[in-house]
Amino acid sequence: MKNKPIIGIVDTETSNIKSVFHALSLYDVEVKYISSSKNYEKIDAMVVPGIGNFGYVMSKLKQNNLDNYIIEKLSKKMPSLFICVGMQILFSKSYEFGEHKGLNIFEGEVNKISETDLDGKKARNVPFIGWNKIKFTKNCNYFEDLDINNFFYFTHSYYVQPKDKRIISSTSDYNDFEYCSSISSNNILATQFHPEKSGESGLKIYKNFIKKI
Amino acid sequence: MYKRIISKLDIKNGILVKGISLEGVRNLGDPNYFSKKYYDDLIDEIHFHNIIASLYDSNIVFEIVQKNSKKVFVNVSVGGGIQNVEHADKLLRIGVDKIVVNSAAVKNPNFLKKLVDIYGSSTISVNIETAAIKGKQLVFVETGRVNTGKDLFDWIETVQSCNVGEIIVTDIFSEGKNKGFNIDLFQKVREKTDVQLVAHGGAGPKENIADLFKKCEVDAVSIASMFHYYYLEPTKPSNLKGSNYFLHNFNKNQKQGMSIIELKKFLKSSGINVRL
Repeated sequence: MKNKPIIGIVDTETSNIKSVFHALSLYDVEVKYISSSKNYEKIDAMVVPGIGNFGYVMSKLKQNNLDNYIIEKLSKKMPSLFICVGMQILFSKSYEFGEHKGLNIFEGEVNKISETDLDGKKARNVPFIGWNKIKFTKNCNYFEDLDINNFFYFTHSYYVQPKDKRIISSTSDYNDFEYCSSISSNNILATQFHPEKSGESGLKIYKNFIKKI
Repeated sequence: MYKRIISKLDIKNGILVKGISLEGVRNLGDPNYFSKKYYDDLIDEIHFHNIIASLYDSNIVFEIVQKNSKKVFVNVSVGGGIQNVEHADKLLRIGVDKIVVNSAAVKNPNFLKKLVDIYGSSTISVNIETAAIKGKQLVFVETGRVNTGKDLFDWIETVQSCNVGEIIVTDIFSEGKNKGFNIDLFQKVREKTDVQLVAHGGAGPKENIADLFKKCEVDAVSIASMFHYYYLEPTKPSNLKGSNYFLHNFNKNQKQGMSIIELKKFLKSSGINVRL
């Protein structure tokens, strides 16, 4: 780990940016807000926080040229954490209130959680808001010190369907609806749940993320 | 699915207060003391409710939330007096994760659509206060003071058509009495509600809470007095304004209510999934 790394939180103008700020600030890091691509501040790692309507978040990122900022940082293999809608925008497109293009870092779609089971019977309330467990689908050192009994906090109506299943690092089950709850690659961790709202389990993810910078 | 236990903290002049049927509030202490205790004891969410929606009080609530978010890492929602997008934006920027709207939605349901278009469904919650008057289940606003004349079930339909992700229904007559939730009411409300449903008003006997989850399939319960009176500490804060008679005369041996973990353990033993 770098000595006191600088972490930039990308300001989507919709997120719970301060909650993420405080979770990161528990550790020995310096945290900065990135509100436009004109922010020439040098950063060692990037976080794109959650909360927000997919189309609106994309339009705000474009307006501030932050879409290109994120793409550029990822091309340089910067350690990056993406949360909730922050994870969803990494994909090709979303169907949240219409059809919207994402950053297309990963191929795949963002679709709505089905309210009904295969017989068309109501099976679950959408959005899903609450705590759930995650099932690890591959070895991922962002999940060090965590196990299948830990709870994480979710609040979402949409979920990602990656084309390349190898990037999926965990799945979760909402009343028999199994979906991708996180993805990871070398420098990227993206979670559908909110680690900053998941008590001690979530804070461990921030700790692991910072350790890898 | 795991059911959520939410603690509701009513704030007046920067102090945690509690009334009965949304009236006659009593000072209980520092809201940040309570929210940290609740977080340590595995509360699933915290809901701060600003009962006086003046500008002055909104600023005090901002301070409470800012202090809270440095130490409490669960979902925090704030309601009371949120009238515009700027107010919601400010809250999200200082440590809030969910916005609760009541009166402003009744005045203008399009406000809900606007919020959802920016923040998404799961960030916007609507609190509906209701009471039965002459056989009609009606909607109230301004902390139970104003009868809107709207039918509860029609209003739920309107709110859902704005794509709001969560509805909190406050049963005014049961609120603050610790006598139990009105099972009949929440059964009817559940039938009409496809999104997340939070029951509020009446939490008391633990058996009734288990019953509520089983018979009404609500997604969460919102609890105030039952936890406040358990975690209450005898304090004599000189800066507390208002009705302090209770706090001054409170004796720790009179401890009432129940801890969050005790309630969760009971629910789990009754076959209800909760985070423990």
